[in-house]
Amino acid sequence: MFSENPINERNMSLRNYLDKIRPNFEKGGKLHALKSVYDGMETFLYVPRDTSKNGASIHDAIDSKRIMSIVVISLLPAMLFGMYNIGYQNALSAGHIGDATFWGMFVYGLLALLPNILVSYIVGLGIEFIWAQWKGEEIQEGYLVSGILIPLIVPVTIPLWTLALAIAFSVIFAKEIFGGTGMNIFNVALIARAFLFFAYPSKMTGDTIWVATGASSDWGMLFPTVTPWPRRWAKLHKVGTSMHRFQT
Amino acid sequence: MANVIKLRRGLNINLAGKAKEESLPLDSSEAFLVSPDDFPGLTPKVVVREGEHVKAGSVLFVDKHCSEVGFASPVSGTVEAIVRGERRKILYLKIKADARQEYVDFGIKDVGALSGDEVKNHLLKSGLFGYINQLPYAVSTRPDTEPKAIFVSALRDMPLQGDFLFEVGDESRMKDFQTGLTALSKIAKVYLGIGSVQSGSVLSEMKDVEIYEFNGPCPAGNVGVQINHISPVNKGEVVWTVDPSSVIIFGRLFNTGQVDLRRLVAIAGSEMKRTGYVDALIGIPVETILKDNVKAERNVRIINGNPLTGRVVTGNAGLGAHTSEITAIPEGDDVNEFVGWIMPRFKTLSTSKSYFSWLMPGKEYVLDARIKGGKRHMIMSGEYDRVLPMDIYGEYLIKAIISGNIERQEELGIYEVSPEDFALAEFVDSSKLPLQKIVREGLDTLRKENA
Repeated sequence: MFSENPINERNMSLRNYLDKIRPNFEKGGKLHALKSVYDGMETFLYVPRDTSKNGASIHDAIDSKRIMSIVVISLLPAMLFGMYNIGYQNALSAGHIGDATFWGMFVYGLLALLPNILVSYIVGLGIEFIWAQWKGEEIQEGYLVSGILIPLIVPVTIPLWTLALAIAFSVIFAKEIFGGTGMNIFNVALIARAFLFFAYPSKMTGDTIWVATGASSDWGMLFPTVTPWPRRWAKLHKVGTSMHRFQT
Repeated sequence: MANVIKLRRGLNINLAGKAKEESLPLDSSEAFLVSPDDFPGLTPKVVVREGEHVKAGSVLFVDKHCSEVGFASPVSGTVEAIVRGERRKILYLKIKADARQEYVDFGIKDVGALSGDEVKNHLLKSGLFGYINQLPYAVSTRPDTEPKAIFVSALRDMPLQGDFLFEVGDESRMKDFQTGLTALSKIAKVYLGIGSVQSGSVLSEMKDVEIYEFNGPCPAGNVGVQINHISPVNKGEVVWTVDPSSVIIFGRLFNTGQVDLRRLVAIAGSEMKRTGYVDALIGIPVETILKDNVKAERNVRIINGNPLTGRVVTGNAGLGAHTSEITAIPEGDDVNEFVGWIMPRFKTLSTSKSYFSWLMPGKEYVLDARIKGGKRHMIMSGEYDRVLPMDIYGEYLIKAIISGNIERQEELGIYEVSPEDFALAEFVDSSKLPLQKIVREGLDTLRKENA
């Protein structure tokens, strides 16, 4: 277990390595364009050693990273249940709920939701990194929370390019142009959903239940079908009809 | 009887190294360093020259905008150097003390027989008037202001602060404190704020003052907080605030006729070898007070004051004019916490329930000077108001100061605050904003606008 000793030999080499490559990321260094990435990595790995220059000399241990990561951890149970539920709804709509196993349903949901989460974080954090580098500021942690909220509130079979578009719109126009985390007047995750609602109203109205269908069954496990992306919308209208695991 | 006001908001920070109630020895010093920075809002003009001989109590520098207000020398000796910094800002005056001290004699006065103007003039003549601060703007005051009241807070509850009850436990100091209070009561009504632990002691028996008892956590001892509950300052009104140790110095002036700038200073902090109290003159070099008393294993931060509101000592510094304690905490610039933001961190203090401090209420903490996070915009709401027991919206006031909206600042109560009221808010802030600096700059800008 890592301790809070000031000198922690186990990690000195990592700390020294980070200090050694720092000059490359400063102004004039070769990798100056990636300075935000370096700063983000450094503050991720080690708590900054800066001491207060004016005002109070002591500070609370709470900071933005801790708050955001606690929120993400708090959302994980809801996400895990949601994954199970995706699989459950799939089995239910296929009419074979009696045959479905817990782990089968859970892994199905996990694999259906995973691309959404990956796209959400990659696109959102990518935009945040680029914007922070452009502004010359530290990367803010606000997107860690939005990034896990967005996959939880959009249809699970949304085409990934649509999701990326909604995220890009929301991060840029609902957060960054206001000044970044803490300066936005609208909630970033809900603006993403609102964007989808106004752009694809017929698909987002909610008069159909969003059920992930499509499966290929190898090895006795359920896998959501890897289809060309635009066809993912088509799946929504075939609820309970074709192409599910138990169809032979 | 004493009025009791209960305060619910606030936070008591339990730091290791509280000052034990015993006296520590103090060497004598030849060099004394007097700094005009101790008096907020002051533009100083030095009236002595290098090489000139001064007596204890003679004026060293005056307020540039009001030359009546002079500031007295703590010792008699020769002015060795006037040290300036960038743009000719006066950093401090270095005085070489004589072996035998000479005092300017201002005459022993009977305070009971004096009028308010006579008291004021006597303080001006002796170079002590500038020790009185005022609200609004939280600056050193001028004699042309008419205060509606004078407030003295005898409760010192910031972490590691020197206990005033211990200071006034000495018989002669108590007499001087009473004289000082009586003198001030001739100018305007004096309100004395004491804490619930101090009620029933000699402080509740002080005469010529109206005593208010404050029952609550830090910052109940802040004079601004007390004023907000007793008699809030409106636009156009002025109140004076006096540090209780300065009241003792005023009393000494009337009782002995001499300017004797001694105060009882607590020596505290986790990095001090021995903690206690010293009876020291304002201006004595901090390194003389701390000789051999600071642990040297790690980088140490010496603070002229307490860790929340005090000024960091860098290089040469003398004991500040309003300093009631000298504290030493670890600097922390050598600490490498690996992914500290997700670790349980049992040894650090946090008010957030995402850490575990709330499960260990009585624990004493050794806190270092690290900020422990990056500076962000304000993200969480309500953080400041939880530790600010005043009837103002602290968070919106800070936002108004940052955005420079002066009408909004006035509506939200900028005339009632001083930077030290936000010291606790700065401690708990998750966005790590330099709140005291923001408020200080806001007050200075407003003062210039209104002048």
